[in-house]
Amino acid sequence: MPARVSEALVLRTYPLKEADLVVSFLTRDQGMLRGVAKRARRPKNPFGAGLERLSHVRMAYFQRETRELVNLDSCELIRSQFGLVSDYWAGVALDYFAEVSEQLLPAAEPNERFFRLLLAVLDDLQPTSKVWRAVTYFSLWALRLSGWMPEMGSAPKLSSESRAIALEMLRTPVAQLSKTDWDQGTAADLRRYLVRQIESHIERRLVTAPLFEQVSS
Amino acid sequence: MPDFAEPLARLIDALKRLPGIGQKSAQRIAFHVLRAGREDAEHLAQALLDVKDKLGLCRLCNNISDSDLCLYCRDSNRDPKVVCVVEEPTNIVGIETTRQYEGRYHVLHGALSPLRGIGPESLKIKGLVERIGQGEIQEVIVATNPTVEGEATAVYLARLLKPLGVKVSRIGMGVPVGSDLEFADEVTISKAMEGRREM
Ligand SMILES: [Zn+2]
Repeated sequence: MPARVSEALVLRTYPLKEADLVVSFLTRDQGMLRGVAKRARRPKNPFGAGLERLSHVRMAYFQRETRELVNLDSCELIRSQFGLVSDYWAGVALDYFAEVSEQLLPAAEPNERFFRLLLAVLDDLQPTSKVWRAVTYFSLWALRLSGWMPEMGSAPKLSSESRAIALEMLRTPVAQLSKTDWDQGTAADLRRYLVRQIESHIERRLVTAPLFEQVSS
Repeated sequence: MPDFAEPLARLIDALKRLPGIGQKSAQRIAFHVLRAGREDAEHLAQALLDVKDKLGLCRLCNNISDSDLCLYCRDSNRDPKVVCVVEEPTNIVGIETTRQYEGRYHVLHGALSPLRGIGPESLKIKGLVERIGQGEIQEVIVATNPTVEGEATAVYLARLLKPLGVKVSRIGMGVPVGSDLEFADEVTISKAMEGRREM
């Protein structure tokens, strides 16, 4: 019997040895953990599509106090993001959520509100026309829930529309925001400002963020 | 860990870096090499160096090759009208073992992944477009991995290549042979349903 089952969101995977994966995942109850999924790249494995990034799963794993990595036993898929794969911007957004979460969150420190933030923006990504709003909302709240509240008052040169959006985002759930018709240009200055804030806290550049600056094709 | 003489320790350490080889296997191989004749050791060392020195990429398909064109691109019995696109040269091995595919290949050397900083320009896509531009290719089979990255790459290629007038198909995804449907997850089953065939 596995020692523990946690509701979790898979952040990313790294290949290990011939057919294994190292998986970083955010659990609702234990915070961010890393584990080894043995044989996960073989066709018949107990993980299926569950280890793709931002899959919402029930993860079964063994945790030994002396080890940094847990041993993943299996996972049961609650919701997959595989259906978003045909939308380029949704794909970039998912990678961005995964990268920022993995960089901002300390290991093994429960942060249930961050977990709920991810669930909320994942919900909001469908349909994918809301990518820009989900990315902006996530960036703002990811900072706030990690203990760094960006000072909207002192944020330099934000347009008045972006400032209003930021203030509304601080008090309204993402699904209830008044502005619904977002495009790449909407609050782009706010997104850039938030990305810079995130990068200065993690002291490194985000790989995925520059992709938001690409021109839509 | 026991202490070994320095050259032996160095060999064990180098072997341990190979996939699937742990401390015990590395020791066993190192002692085998130690006991074997000098000729065998030279043969092994030379084989390792040749892999690095004598192999390059095929000019057409980017498969690993010891000459300008790889053995599949050289083989006139293979159908030049069909090209199978794979992520890595090792994927060709899997397809070849089926003995059912008689077309040619194109190796991308990766898959699209914003998270790993891999965009279209990092993949060997330009050569594929050029090959299609020459007019002989009629069908492109996209055999990238059934992962988010592989699927995103397939979608990207389909959008890029279809306007060039070629048929673009995707390998089937779904339930592995010998497994039980009861244990397949929703993504796997929905992909299997999508890829169903008439009987
Ligand atoms: Zn070739």
